[in-house]
Amino acid sequence: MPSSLRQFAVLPSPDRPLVAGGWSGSALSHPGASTFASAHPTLDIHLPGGGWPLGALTEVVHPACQGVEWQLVLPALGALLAQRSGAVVLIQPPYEPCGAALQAHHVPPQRICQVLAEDGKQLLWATEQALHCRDVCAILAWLPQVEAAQLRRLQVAASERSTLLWVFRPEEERVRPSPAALRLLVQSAGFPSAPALEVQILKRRGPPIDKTPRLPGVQSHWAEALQTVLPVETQGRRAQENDAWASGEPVRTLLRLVRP
Amino acid sequence: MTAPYWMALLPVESQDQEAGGIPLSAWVALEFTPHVALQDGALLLEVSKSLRLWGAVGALQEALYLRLQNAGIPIVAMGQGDTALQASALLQLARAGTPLPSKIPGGLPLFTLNIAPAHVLALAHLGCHTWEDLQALPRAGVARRFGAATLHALDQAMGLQPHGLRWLVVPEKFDLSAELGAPAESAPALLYAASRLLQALQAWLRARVHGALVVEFSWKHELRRWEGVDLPAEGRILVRTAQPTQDIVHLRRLLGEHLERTRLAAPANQVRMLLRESAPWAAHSENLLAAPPSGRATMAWHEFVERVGARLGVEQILVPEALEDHRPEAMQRWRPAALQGAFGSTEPAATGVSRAARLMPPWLVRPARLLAVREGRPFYHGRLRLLAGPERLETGWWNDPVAESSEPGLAVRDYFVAHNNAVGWVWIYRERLPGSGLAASAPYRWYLQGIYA
Repeated sequence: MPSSLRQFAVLPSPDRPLVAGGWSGSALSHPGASTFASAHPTLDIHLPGGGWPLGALTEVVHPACQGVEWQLVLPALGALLAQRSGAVVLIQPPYEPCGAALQAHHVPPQRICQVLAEDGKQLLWATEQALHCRDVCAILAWLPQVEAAQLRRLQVAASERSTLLWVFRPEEERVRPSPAALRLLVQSAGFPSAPALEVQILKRRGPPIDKTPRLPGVQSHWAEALQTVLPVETQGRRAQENDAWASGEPVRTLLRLVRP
Repeated sequence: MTAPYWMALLPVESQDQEAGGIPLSAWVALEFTPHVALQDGALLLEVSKSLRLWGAVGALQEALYLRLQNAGIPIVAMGQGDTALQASALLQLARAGTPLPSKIPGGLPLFTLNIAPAHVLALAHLGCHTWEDLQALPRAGVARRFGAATLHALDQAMGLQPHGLRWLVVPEKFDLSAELGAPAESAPALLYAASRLLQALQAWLRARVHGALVVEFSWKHELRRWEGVDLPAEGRILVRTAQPTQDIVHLRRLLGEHLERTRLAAPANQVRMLLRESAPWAAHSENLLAAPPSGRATMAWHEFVERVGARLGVEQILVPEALEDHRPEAMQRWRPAALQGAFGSTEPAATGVSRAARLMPPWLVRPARLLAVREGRPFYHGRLRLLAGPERLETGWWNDPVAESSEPGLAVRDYFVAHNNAVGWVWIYRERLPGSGLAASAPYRWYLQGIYA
């Protein structure tokens, strides 16, 4: 059989897409896509390629008053910085990153750089410049007011390099369409004593997903550290505590609950 | 030793394109060979040593042509030959539009030789029209009748006698000014003039094997007063780059960003570029095997920092610096990334992490946000529930206790990890300033200091 005919004889499958770069809608995206493990096992199994996409835009929408960003990206960031040289650029972060805390998660503060600007256009410009810089290995950009066309521009710029790019946006934006390769809705959830992140995959290169993977929000140091200082949570004590709150007693009485 | 090979060029230049008596075209030509001389308005280049780099005369010629054209200097005519005089003779013919003789250099007409015009006429009467004809005459007779200078000129042209030319030398310091054809009304309009000066700067840097560090660009105003206001004599911009560079694209971008933000006090009619600081330049080795994975040119770290700093301001691109303090607001400060110098690539993370640091939240709220208190309990997007704490912090007694200024002051605090469903986990503290918490009736003041998730 001539080789040209043989091509048509084989039906396209997830492993063998008919068009380069294409994939079947029922499967996760083509295995050739390069990714970097998010180090959240419960999330990785749902992500195409098993991790954060390299050279693509990842959009994270989250409630404005929650600071979920670091819990989501820190494990991957720490592993990335151990493997690769380069800086992490933060574009207009909402709060100040705490160097000591990041250091405890293997993200050395001396490899962090933040860019501040008032104007949304300048932020976009700075993000694009960072994408063109070869000494930048990851970018976290907070772009609350940005249009889909501008995001597409970032996505195109990102595709030229293998930088990790997260764009964080307020939760209200989830109703708008986005050109991002991966789009997540992240919010903090779980019981007070067992912090967790609830992640909903809004868009991915693969079949839609209903499940919401729940990540242990704090896996590393501060979870352990928090466990050591957390009071022993028993129902009785919690009730006692709530009673104490309700009765308006001075806070001092509550502190006895704290394990030494 | 390779045989010399000469090129003669006739560029069209105005007088203002000169720097230290050297026309801009000569600066450009110096990029291609160190042997450049100026004779009767024509540039003479000896390029035999550069031919190997370019591969062929044609390639070199094309590159030179292109480079001059980019610098805004068109070339009228060009000639090439084994000696400087042959090249300039061909240049003369090309300029006059005369068809070239079939035999070079023998067939070249005598008027292209540097001898007295009266002698050319006399020789023509003798039936001597070409260099070859003159060479065929008995030397003793020619010397007697037309002088030794005529023979000398012929010998030099044929390459039998050395031809001494004064090579142009790049000046010690780069300081170039240019008159503008029309007054520039806006700062971006100066960029065109600046880019021509930058090209000369690049030629200077290449000839000197130096990289630019600090470049000063200034412009003079035509007028002393403008709209009733006395003008400063000139305006200036300093462009700095962290690493020595010969890349004028980067310098032009930086200059462009600076000019974008500059307002001219009045139309400018003269610009000047001065190289303030430079350093010996070492070119990077090209990779022998593979081209870089992405075809697009990428920036180095310092270029990124400089570009962003030039547009947004140096204070807008920052790196953290850890300080020896326990107060979260004084634990670190942010400094301009441009001051940091070289970028630390892969330092291993510090191993010893204190227990306190492990409990620190990744986000710091600075300044700490005063929380509302309802029924004696802190409130932030809902009632906060204290999970862990207190962790007592008492420090900063050496500072002024009235800490209303930006300086961190006395801190007497109890830190707690708190939670509610709206905001997740936060790090808050209770202020225990002297006198505030002792009386049971006085409510504590609660502050939001950090956010976990």
